[in-house]
Parts: sequence; structure tokens; C-alpha cells
Amino acid sequence: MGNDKNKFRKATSCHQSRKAMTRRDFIANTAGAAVSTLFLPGVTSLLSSIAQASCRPSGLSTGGTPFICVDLAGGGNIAGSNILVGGIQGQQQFLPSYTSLGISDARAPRSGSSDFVEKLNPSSKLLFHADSAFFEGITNELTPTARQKVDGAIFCTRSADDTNTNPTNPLFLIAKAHLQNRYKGELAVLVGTSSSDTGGNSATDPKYYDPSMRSVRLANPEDGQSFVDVGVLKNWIGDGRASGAVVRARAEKILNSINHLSSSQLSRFSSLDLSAQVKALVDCGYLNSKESVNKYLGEDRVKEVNPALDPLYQPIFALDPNANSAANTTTVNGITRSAGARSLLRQSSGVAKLVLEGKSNAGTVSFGGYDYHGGNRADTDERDRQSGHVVGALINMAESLGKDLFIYLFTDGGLASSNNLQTSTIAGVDIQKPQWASDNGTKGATCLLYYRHSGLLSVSRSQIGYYNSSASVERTGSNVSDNIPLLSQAILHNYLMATSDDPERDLRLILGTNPFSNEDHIAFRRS
Amino acid sequence: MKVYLQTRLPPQIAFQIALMAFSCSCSKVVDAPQPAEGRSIPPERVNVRSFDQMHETMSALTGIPIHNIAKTNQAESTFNGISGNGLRNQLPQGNSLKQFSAAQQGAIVQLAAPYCDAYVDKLLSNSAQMLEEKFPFMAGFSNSTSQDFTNSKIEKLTGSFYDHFWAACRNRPSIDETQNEISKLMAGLKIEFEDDSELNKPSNYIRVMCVAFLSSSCVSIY
Repeated sequence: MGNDKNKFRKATSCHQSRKAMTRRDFIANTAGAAVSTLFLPGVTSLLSSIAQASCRPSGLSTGGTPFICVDLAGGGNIAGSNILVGGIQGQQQFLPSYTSLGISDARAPRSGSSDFVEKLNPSSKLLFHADSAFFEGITNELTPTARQKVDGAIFCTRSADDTNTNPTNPLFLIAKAHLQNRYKGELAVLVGTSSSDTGGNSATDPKYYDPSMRSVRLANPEDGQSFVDVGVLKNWIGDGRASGAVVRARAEKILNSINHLSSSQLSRFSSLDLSAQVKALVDCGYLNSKESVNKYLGEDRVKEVNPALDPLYQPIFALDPNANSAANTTTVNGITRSAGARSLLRQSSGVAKLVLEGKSNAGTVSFGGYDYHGGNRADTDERDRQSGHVVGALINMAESLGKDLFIYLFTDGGLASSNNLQTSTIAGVDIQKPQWASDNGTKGATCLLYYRHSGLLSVSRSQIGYYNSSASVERTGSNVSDNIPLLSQAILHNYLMATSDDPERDLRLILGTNPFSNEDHIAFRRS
Repeated sequence: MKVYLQTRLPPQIAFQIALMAFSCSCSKVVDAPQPAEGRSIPPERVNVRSFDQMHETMSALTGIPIHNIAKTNQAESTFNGISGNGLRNQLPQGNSLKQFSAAQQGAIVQLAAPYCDAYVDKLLSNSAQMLEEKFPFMAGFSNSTSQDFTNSKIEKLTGSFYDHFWAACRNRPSIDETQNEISKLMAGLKIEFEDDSELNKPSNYIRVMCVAFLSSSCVSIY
């Protein structure tokens, strides 16, 4: 009996701050509501009350800091030409030469000089190369206020070239972190622009793959509507013949009946099940369905899941119905967006909407064509610029919503450039840059950016690991320099360090252990 | 051909479901996971069906082959979605309750609706034989009006659907609870539809009734 009670306490305690309820508490708390329910009085109200009381997420209004991966499929450039990499002392310890990292000697940063080095704001520490098309794309989009609140770190790490098997995507771990906080995402755990398990190109560490969290694909702004649609049923209840509100009310009636019938069935499982298993259905799940559909179904409400219909998203993600309108073709800073940038913004908007608004736990936006070797430098820089536009827009959207946001940028493998200089135009200036010649996973990197709405959180170090004098990843440079699975765990650790009250405890809860013998992978520390 | 049945199912109902599944040609019905062994009193597990299992179960229950559903444009959109994934990614991939999220009830309705659409169409097209054989109280159904769809017929049809769709349901709601709920739903919709001759048809009500049965936890949970 004692054990049962403990089990029940465990099952009904929602998050750490909530006092655990016994079964007796729980029935007492819901008895009043039960009387007013016509159908199956006790159970429906009981389950609804559990859902409402114990499924309320905590923190950041929805329970988790939004986290979006930007996955550049194919093997694009991050290290050097876009985000600077340096020696053991960090980014600012410039390498003897960057010619194999896409920067000509004439444009290479030099010790004691700030030439060719850029930052997002005076207080941030992450260094970009001044000729970075990625940086140009970000700053084309970022509002002046958002730009002041972003910092990040580059992770010098080797990964395999031209493959989707690198277990780089950390979202299953991030989702586990959110679930620790009882935050599941109102509509889906994970979303992504691709139909893979992660929603992107790169894989996740199989050790942490959980099919219950498998990503749902949102490749277009309107795809989110399928979460809250009732399909053909709409035709039978007057869709197109009655107003959205009427159709919604009718759908709600039907869903209400389904919920009542389901509640009746669920109540018939043993009391042990009610506490331990049925609660899992109710908790953040089953009985919220009616509310979810009712909340979003209908022309007048569908903008809640379709960013193309949301005036707040339209200018930021180039979603204005008039494709050639200034709102689509021009950024908030008056810079013209290319057609490619507009296309990527549009693709990203569905994931942005659901993740930033807490309707999904975390997401991945993945873009193809980042397989640069042999490509014309102006073209490959345009790709970098486009992904920069996406990163800038994601941050702008977080700012508009008053949310914090992590963005994790990665690709598969790395690139080496040749001595063949080609012209690329950056911010209107023609610059000679080395052409990307071949895939080279030893010149890889990933980057974690953090926009904190309440104010900049500067990183304690902007480079994890380092590059050696040959301009390649030093494989022993950090815990994660030659260990992609551990890199995902390091990203989780950084996420927790920046957001959790007790990151070490949370890390152990999620991973079952602390796999790190030191903290040379930590960039973010909450002040 | 395997039939998804709980061990406590009465043999005659099991036979009925098996026969129905067999008669609907190639539909595959899914096995129920066996209880965990090694405990003196095994815990009563509650699981959710995966997308494929729901598909197969709905196909078996309605007698509509999956490929009949999948080939229609509407269903194509329903299952594959605007960008190619649709309900498959939205509904559970496995059987853990953890896989269930709020949006999935809507997705289950989306999945059930084309089956119910085809099921009622099939009833209509076979009214002289199958319908009256299965539901004798619905004689003349295909030409009936909403006035003919009396409370008595609703009650009888609910009873038939209860036996038909929920025969294998573990811990199914009582027939009285179910009658009460469905009657209430039908009464509410009748008021909603009374001024719309396109909607105010028995076939329309029966489609909705079918969705209510197929979308409930009796079909999605085991």
C-alpha cells in the first residue's frame, strides 16, 4: 500500500516545484468539478482536472527555451571563412594561414589588429570573419535591438563528409531536457523540414533516439494546419457552407463525444493504471485534443499554426501573399533578400512558428545544396548568406515574441579551399576569395548561438577546442573535437548551463551520468 | 491473417471480427503485444496503437481495404500531407503511451473519417443486401430522410456499432453510457443541420457516428 501511494505520488507530481498529490488529495480536489459534468461525471472531470492541473508547463511561459537546429546538408563551410577559428588560446589566437579555410592571405586576420574581424555586438565574444556571407545574411536581417542580445560559440570538431550519418543533431536530448520540465510541446515533440527522424539531414545518436519524439515534417508554412485539421469530417459538418466558428463548434461537439467515450474506457482500467498509465495519456495529451482542435480549426484561427496567415510572421519570413511585395523582398534593415533567401525563410517559418510558440518542443530546419566543393565561390557564398538570413529571421521572430532562442548550426564534414581566387561580392564590395576545392572533415565546426531576450548572455569562451597550425581541427583539442556523439551531449550541457537552475543534476537525469571529465566544452554559463 | 483481439474476447465476437476482416480482402490486422512475463500479477498495460496499426485496425473494422482509402485524392492528402508526411508522422510510431500528444486526436479523426466515408458509401451501395442484413432496422436507408432517422434507429444503430466496432475493446464503456453520448451528439447535430438539406441526411449522421466510434480510445488504445 505504501508502495502504491509512493507510486501514485510519483505519477501525479508534475514538476519539482509542485507538491505531489495523493490519490485522496486528487479526488478531493476534483470532486466539485465532477458534479457539473453531465456525462460520466466523475471520470471526465477527474481526468480533465489532472490534465489542467498537472500538465501546466513551467518556465518561459511554455516550459522550455526554444531550440532550433539549422542543418546545412551536404558539407558547407562554417570554420574560418564564416566564423573564425583559432589556436589553443581561442578564436583570437589567429592561425598562421587561413588559405585552406576560404580566406586569402590578403584578407586574413592578424594578431594585434581588428581588421577582418566582426562581432554581432560590442559585448559579444563570438568572432566572425568580416567577409563572411553568413554574417552578412544574419546582420541583413537582425534588428538593431536583437543584435545586441546574441552571442555564441564555435565548436571545432571533425565530422564525416557528405553523409547523413553523423549523429550531430542533439534535439532528442534537448527534448528530454524539456520533458524533465514537463514540457512536451502542445502539438508535437519535434518538428523539422525534412522527413527524417530528426527532421533534418544529420542523424541523432541512436542511444538517445526515441520514436515517441520522432520529428514531424513541416516543410511549408501551411503544413502545421494538418496538426489541427479533422480532415474529411469537415465536409460533413458544413465546411464551406457555414462560418468557421460554426464548423469549429460542430467539430468540438464531435470531439467532445469522442473524449467522453474515451474517458469512460480509460476510467475502467485498474486504479493502478489510472495513476500510472492513464495519467500519461491525460497528462499533456489525450484530453487536450479537443481544445487543440477547437483552438486552431477554422479560417479565423488557423493562423495560430500557419505563419503565412500570421501578420507577425509575414514580413520576417517573407510570407506576404504578394510574393514581390517590399515586405518579402526587403529586410527590416532595408537590404534586398535574394529569391533563394526568401525561399529558405518560407521553408523555415513553420518550424519557427511551432517551436517559438511552444507548440513544439524543438525543431530542425535543414537545407540542401550545401555541398560546396568545386562550386563557384560567389554561389557558395550566396548559400551562406541565405542561411544567415534564416538565422537572423529566427532571432528576429524570437525578439518579436519576447522569447529566448538557441540556434545550433551544423553541417556534415568540412571543406578545404584551393589557391584559386574567385570574386565574391560581400556587402556590395567585390572580394577575392579562395574557391572551395574538396570535402575535408578535419576542417569542420558547429556553432551554438543564444539570443536571450532579457539581455545578452556573453559566453565564457567563444571557441571550444581549437585548430592546429595546419588549419585543421586538433583532435585532442577538447572532449568533443573528435567525438560527435559527445558533441551532442556537450550542446545539451551548454543548453542546461545557460538555462537550468541545476544543470549538473539535469544533465545526470537526462544522460544518466555526467560523461565529461572536465568542462573544456562549456561556453555558456548563466550569470 | 491475424486478428487483433484481446484474450478475454468472447469467441462469437472474435469470430465475427475475424470473418469481417477476412471478407475485406487484404487488410492486415495487428497482433496485440503479449503481457510481460515473469511477474506473478502482471500489470495491466495500456498502450497506444501506431499509425500503421490504427490504419489496419480501422480497415478491418470497416471492411474497407487500406489501398481503397489510400488511392483517393482526399486520402492521399490526408495520409501524406501537403509536404509528404501527413498523418504517418503525426501519429505514434510505436506503442508507448508516451507517444501520444494532444494533436493526435485530431489526426485519428482524420484517419477514421475516410474509412467511415467509404464504409457508409458501401452500406448505401449495398442497401438491399448487406445493410438490411446487418442493420434490418435501417431498411430503406438510402432513400430515407432525417425524419426517418429516429431516436429509436439511432439507438439501434449505436448498439450495432458498439458491438461491431468495439467488440475487441478492452474495458469498453457501457452500452448505456455510449447510447447516452451518441444520442446527445446526434441530437445536437440535428439541431445544427436542420436548415441545411445537404447535411441533414441520415448518411451524414451515420458517418459522424462512425467517426465517433472509430476515433475513440477503444480503437486507438489497447
